[in-house]
Amino acid sequence: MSDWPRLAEVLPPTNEPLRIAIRRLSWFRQAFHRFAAASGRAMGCHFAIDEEKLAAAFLRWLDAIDAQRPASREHRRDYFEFAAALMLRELVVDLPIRPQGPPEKMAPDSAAAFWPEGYCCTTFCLCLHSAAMAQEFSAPTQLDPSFADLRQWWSFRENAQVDHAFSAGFFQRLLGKEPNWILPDVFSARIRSELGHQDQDFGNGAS
Amino acid sequence: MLHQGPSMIKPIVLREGLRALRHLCKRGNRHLVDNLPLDSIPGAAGLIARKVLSDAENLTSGIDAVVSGIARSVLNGRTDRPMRLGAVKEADDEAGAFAASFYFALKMVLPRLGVTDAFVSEQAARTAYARCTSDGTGDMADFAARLMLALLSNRTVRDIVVETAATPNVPDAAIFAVMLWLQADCVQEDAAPALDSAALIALVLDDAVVTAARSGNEAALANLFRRYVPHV
Repeated sequence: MSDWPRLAEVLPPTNEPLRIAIRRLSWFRQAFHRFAAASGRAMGCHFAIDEEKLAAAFLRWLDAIDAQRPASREHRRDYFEFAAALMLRELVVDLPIRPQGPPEKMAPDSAAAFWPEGYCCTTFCLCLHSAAMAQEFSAPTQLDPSFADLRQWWSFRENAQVDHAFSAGFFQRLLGKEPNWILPDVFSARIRSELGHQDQDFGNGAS
Repeated sequence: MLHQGPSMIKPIVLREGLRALRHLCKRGNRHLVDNLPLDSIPGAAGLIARKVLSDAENLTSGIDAVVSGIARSVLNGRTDRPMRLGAVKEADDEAGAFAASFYFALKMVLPRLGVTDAFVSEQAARTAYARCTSDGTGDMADFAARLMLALLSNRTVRDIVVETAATPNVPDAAIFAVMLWLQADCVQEDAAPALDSAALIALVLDDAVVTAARSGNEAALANLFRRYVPHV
């Protein structure tokens, strides 16, 4: 769905920085609902949302990002990106949306048609990531060409069912990063493998 | 400005009594509708039965209007502007302001928990608050935890009817959700979505909330409030 970045317009308004608003369940729910509705219109289907599953995913995500937050602000930007990967992981653990019928506007061999709910959750996380990165770092988000590769999505769906951590790795790959596939949902492991740091102290710290 | 003293107690007592009567009428009406075979009562008897039901519903509606009017006198004339817990502590009649805000919020939270009917006692909430303000230790989360236990102890929500239970622990979840919301800084802006989110948080944390509440663990409840209030 090449027009997903424009879906950032469906995010609810807020007077707070996005990094704060995203961590309020009321804003997060509203964003998810609006995004799912807009995605459904674009895809030609309707998504039913399970509110309790969505809230549970949100709280698990809060715990996850707090547990892995690096002590050093040096990695703040990288962690912003990683937080979105953790969000996808928690959404995929117990998908809070279900399509009511096939996406009639999508090509049969498209990722959206193959896995509508997974596609919607992934593009939601990409949308939030893109909006937050633009606001915090004035940084545009570039998608890896694998986004359009159905085989990647097939691999994502199959592997995520076995190991939810895979979702975090897939998300990083979509942003052009090479995840640590042994521990794709562990930030310290990614930093060590990508940046070659040794003996880093990754404890809880201030944002 | 609200006035302290006995003059403020009377409207709340009257409101509570009328709400109890309304609650009884609603239950009675529902029982009549469920058990009175109107279609099989012939002729004049059937007409009388329908008239009785209609009069009972009108009585309930009338009580509703009176109760709503009295409720406005407590929340500075506005029933749609509940006060945050911090603002309640600055009010002239703290207990009254809290009880009115608590009542407003609880009535909105209960449907999310699958509750179709319940009696919420504003008087019991007022009494619970008054009992807690005498012990001024700790921060807002500590106070909220202490208050939550008092609200549970006073059975501020009772006579619960559940259609599809979201939790078997309705009072604990409902009161936790309301206390969460009353501490959040979104209270006066968008009540319904934020209250709904608070209720969902309470449902997800159901086990932790019930464990802490049933054991009277104020510290555990306070930690839950500190952790999740910023995320309502």
